[in-house]
Amino acid sequence: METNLTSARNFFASFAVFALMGFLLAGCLNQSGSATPTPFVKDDSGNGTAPTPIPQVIGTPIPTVTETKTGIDKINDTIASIVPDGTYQQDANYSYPKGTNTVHFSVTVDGDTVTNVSVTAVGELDPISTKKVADFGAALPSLVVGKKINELNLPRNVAGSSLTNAAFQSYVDALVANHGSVA
Amino acid sequence: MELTARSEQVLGTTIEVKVPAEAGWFLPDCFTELKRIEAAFSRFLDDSELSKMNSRLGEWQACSAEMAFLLSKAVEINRATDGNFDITLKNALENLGYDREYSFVPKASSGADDSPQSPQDVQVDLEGNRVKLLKQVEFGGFGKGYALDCVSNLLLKNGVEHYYINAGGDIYAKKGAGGDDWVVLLEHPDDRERAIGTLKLDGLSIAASAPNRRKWAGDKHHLLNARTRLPAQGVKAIFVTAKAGLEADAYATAIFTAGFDEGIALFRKLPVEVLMVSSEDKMFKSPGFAGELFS
Repeated sequence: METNLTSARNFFASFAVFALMGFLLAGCLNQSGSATPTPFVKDDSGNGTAPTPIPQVIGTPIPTVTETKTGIDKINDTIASIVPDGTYQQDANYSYPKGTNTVHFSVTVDGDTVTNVSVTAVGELDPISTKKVADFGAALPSLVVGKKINELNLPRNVAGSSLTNAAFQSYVDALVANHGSVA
Repeated sequence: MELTARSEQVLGTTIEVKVPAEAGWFLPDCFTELKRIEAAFSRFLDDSELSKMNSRLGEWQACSAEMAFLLSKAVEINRATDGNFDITLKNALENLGYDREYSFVPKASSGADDSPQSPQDVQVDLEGNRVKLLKQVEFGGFGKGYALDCVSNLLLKNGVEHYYINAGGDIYAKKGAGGDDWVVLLEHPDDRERAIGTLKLDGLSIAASAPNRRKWAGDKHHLLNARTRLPAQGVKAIFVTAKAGLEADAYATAIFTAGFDEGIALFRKLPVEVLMVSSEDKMFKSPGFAGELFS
């Protein structure tokens, strides 16, 4: 699902990626000292903050700039706010005291809201990052209730699991009967 | 367009084929083909090509071109899924009770080698149609998907271009000229009378796994994790779409048995889209998954 990234979209993708990284990885980045400079809000406490849960991102407008931005950043952000709908994907590297991890972000934009976010590990992650990716998993939407098939006005073309054990047993019986004995 | 359908118990499940009414004459041939696949590759039949092959481990033996193809695909997919797709789980399945006596009673290990599939276990000479196995194999992980592809090819070769094939919940459908959309219902993992959404299929296959209906002894089911050799934990249901039935089925098996978080990481490397439900009812839907979920 990669779209061709023009320079404006490139910036947006980077911005969105690092905004999300800020949500998820604020603790790690504050500890590293070697994070790539990013245009999002800086945490001056130096303590690392708990990551903002992802569901707050979904359905909300793209975060806007803060007063700490330079003039050129504000212009870039205005350009970036005119962003075509689509799915933007980016791998992000971040450093922490013991090395470098790579995480893959995918952000879907529909109108002026983020409609889907996913983050997955690329290769092995350190334990802190693994937990953060897992926390993201915990913030995923829950199984929908669904609808009764009988009430849908659709043919019964069902994708799902197959026979019960009882039916399977009778299948093996019939198979063996038709082919002769099974040792 | 008026359709006609036929349904039979084959390959351990119910298989249904739907075609335009005027192509109904071809349905018996579809099921002849399905029974041919069953006779060749069932691990429950002593005289299948698979069972005969499994009885001659450790030596190079002649095999059909079809068998050589399937084994080489299994090796390729084993590599592509970091070992999560594993055709050497036969001993583990039988030790857990999923055997030809359908005892579903776990038994003590037979002592046969039950380590994860390694390159030595399955060696294929594609040009010479020969194979050498060091461990017994079985095709439960992609057999239904392969059956979908075989019937699909058969229909296309005979000029049938609008069809739907459902092999125990794994589906391939193609929309032909004048035909309506094939809309598939995504079965709710906890209630087979409910659907969680719909998906249109056209030249696409969907493989679904939710082993809750084949459980025995409380928590055992037939989708084994390749590393632990035990029933996979963490995922309740999965739907995978891919261009071919064999791929969708094999990758669904691999992603499901890898576990929820590992499955998400694994899907990223594979040419598929996925909707997965964890044991805690969390849903992961890949951005390109074409299904629409009911809200």
